[in-house]
Amino acid sequence: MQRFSAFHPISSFLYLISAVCITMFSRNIVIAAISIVAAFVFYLSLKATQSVWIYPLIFLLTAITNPIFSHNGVTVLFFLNGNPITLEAFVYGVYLGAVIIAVLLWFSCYNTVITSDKFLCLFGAVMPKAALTISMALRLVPQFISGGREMLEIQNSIIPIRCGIIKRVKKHIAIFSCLITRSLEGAVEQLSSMKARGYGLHKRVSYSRFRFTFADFLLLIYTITGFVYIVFFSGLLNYNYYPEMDKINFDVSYILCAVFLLMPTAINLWGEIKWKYSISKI
Amino acid sequence: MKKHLTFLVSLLCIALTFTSCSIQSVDDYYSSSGSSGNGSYATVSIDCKTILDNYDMLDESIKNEKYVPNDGVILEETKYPIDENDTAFSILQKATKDKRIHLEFQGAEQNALGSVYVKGINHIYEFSCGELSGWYYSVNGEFGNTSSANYKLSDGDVVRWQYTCNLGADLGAPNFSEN
Amino acid sequence: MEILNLENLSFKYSTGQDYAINNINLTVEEGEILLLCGSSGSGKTTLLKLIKKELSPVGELNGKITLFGNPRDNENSCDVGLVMQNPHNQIVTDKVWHELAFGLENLGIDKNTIRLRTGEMASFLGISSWFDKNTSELSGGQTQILNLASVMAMQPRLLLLDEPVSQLDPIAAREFLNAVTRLNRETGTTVIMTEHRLEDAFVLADRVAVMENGRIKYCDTPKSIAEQIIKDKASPLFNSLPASSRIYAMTNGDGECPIDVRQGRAYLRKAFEGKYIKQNIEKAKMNNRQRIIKLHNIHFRYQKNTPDVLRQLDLDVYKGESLCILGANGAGKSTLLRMLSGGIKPYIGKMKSDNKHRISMLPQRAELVFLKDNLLEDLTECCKEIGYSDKDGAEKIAQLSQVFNISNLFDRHPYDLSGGETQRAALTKLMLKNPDVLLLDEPTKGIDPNGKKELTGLIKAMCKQGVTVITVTHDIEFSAQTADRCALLFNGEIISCSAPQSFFCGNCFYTTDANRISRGIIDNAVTCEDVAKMWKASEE
Repeated sequence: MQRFSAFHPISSFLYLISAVCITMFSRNIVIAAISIVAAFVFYLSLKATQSVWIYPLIFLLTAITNPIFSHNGVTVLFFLNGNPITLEAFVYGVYLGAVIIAVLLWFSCYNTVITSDKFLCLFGAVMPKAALTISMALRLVPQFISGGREMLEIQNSIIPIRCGIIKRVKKHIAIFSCLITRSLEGAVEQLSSMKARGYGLHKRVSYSRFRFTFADFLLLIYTITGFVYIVFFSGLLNYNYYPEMDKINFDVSYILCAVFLLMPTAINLWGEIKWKYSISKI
Repeated sequence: MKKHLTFLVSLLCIALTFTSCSIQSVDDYYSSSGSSGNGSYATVSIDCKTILDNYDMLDESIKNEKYVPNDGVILEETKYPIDENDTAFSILQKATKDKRIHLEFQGAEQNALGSVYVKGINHIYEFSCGELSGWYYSVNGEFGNTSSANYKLSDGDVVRWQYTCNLGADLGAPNFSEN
Repeated sequence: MEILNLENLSFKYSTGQDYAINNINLTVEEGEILLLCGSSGSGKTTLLKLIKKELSPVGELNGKITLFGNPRDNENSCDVGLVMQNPHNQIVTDKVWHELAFGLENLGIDKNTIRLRTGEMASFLGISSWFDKNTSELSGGQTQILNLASVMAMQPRLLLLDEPVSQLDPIAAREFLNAVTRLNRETGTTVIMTEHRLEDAFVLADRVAVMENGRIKYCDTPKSIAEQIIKDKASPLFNSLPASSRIYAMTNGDGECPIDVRQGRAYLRKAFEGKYIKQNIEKAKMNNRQRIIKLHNIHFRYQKNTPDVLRQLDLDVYKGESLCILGANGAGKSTLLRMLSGGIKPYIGKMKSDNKHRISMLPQRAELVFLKDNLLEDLTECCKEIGYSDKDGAEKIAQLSQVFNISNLFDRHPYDLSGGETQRAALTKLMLKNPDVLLLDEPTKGIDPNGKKELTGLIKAMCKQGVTVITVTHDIEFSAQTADRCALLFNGEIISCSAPQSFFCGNCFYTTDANRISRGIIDNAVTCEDVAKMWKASEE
């Protein structure tokens, strides 16, 4: 049960963007760690399908390369070609890697939660005409690609495209121009279908299937207060790595930040538990 | 097969990079002093007095006596033995090793031009105190216009490494690019 | 109440010489289904477009068009809905729900009403299960139903359908027409529909108007129209009539003309009173023929963890035969075709072919075969690529274009040809490389009955020259006339394969109309011609 995905796009979009912003604005390694954990459990709760195996690699790479290029810091571990390799630079690299991966994970979640429908709903509220154009493009592009594939297969079956790069390119260009002709012809018919359905007669409204409910309102308020508190009032975002790392003191704000970032997972889990419970009653 | 090949090649590259690096432990680094000299001496000093006038522009993270001493002097005038190969940079390296002062520079000795750029001393970096700040050196009161690693020292030379907050103008240096 | 009234309507395109619409008078009452038929170029589409204000073509218009009692130009545009021929080109947006809402968005209706109307329409037409899908994932039949639904969501009072099922296979076409009938019967929407495939549309129409050269020739109930067409021996519409009417005509029937299977049976029973005729089934004689492809125990799936598309499939193909493969949507017909053309390989089983033979395939959308702007140029280019010398190529083209009767089309753009013309031109191009096996994918889509008849002739001619023709189709009547053998593909398996006569006589539902009409009265008749032959024999 992915309850979080059921929220109104405005709420879920703002929440995800603010989570990304907090992760990016913060220079605090603890917040980066909280964010990476929160994003990862959220990612798991979404059962998203994007592969993430490359992420540890990115993390390792940044963690290792930073101390090689940055030599600031008071805690010298060893010297490399006469330049100090310091603990601070290493920790900073770890922090950078963590932020990059946390942001990537948040965006993976974003891709799963904010479907093209939701994106268009957001967009349509601001720019209805542009939203329609995007919607049409979203249909045309896959159509164009599959049309191209079909045509290539057919042409190939008539006369196999022989080796030779020039011949190949020539054939592909011919197919491409053919596709353009066809889609232009299709566009004429599409236009008459649009006109037949009253396009351009009245002021267009942008319909979306999502309803803004009280829960959406609550999430919105939660997002705004949480974001404002963490960014402007918690004082956790500033942190120095060079020349000496600031001490990390326990602060109740860390817990608040964790609560803020773990909210979507909690919502999904809550949905799951409720679902299990409602099933068990049957 | 192709996959294996790429893997092998990348492994080789990594190995090569490592062998070309020299890794020293902290104590090794500080105890390895340069040449013992040929009887000549030069003095070297490091200060950042200009920061004291622009203290509000300084990075928050190094607003600390540890990095910017109250009088702005990081290293008093100190005499070191030199030989004919020593330069304004090598004497700085010698001094910082001797006194265990932090130093970061770009362009090691292998550099084709033999030039070296000093980025930071005692955790005070270029741009740490405004956008026009960085490290300058002067020998006998004359600001060098070549890289410090190319300035050969002779007996009795006085080398001063000074921090500027205004491209050397506050040190009375002529206007040329740093180092 | 009068929904539409045309008074002395004439229309001439600004580019044309003759009147495309010539002095038409027509009245349509509320709740009626009017079928406009006529061969292509008779002005059906122009007439429909004139009724729809936004799409009315540029030209000289005389006469009066009155909609709902008011002149056309004063009418609210959303009161007239239009569904056109090509299903995919009418879709605007990427999601099914958005497509349904598109028209309502244009009218500036508030959200809750849009929600209600789209939901209502989706459940009425049974498309709720794919409400969330992308429009690009839908089949042609589904897309056309969606077009109907998104027009109907605007609640028009008059629905115009411009050859809505000509691009669909017969089963999807029947589904679409059923949806239209339901809409008409249950909501009272008035429908005007053009169509040249009359079998299915005839039964559901209240009135039929036959158009010829921009005039309405007759306008009456389907029965009397059928009688008129039969009387009018040379009418190009004869082959479009339902099977029962054609049997009626071929047996020189008298009395009322039957237009559906039930009436046809009643008629035939009366005509053959007291006689029971059985035709002997001819066995398909394949033993003496050379087997060129043998599929044995074929299994195929597209992905590791998806179910098999083809399973335990056995099929033999003989040289010079016409083999029709029938089956419902999703039975694996296209997959089988791709396997025969060598595009995919089975993961279990083997496809054996005697020698390396050349295979050509005619795709569903035949126009995709062409790349150039000019038909002759395209054919010449193809000859060059095959490796003919200029002289040989020209000879080959000349010879084939005579067979396929396309010599008069050489200067045209391939996309401007009609369905049947495109197909013949595409076949010409495919035959240039002298294939041994010709695969046809749904060749009757978008072809009128006369075109079908022509195609049957062409296929038979090609078979005589030793070309093996394998056709994948939904069209039962067509396969009954064309095939030497028919195979039924069900769930990835060939469950029956024999000569059309024994094939269709063994089936109860999956069979031709003529067989259904004559079952129990004349046994083992499959086509209308069979029935006529039996009738003649019994007369003598």
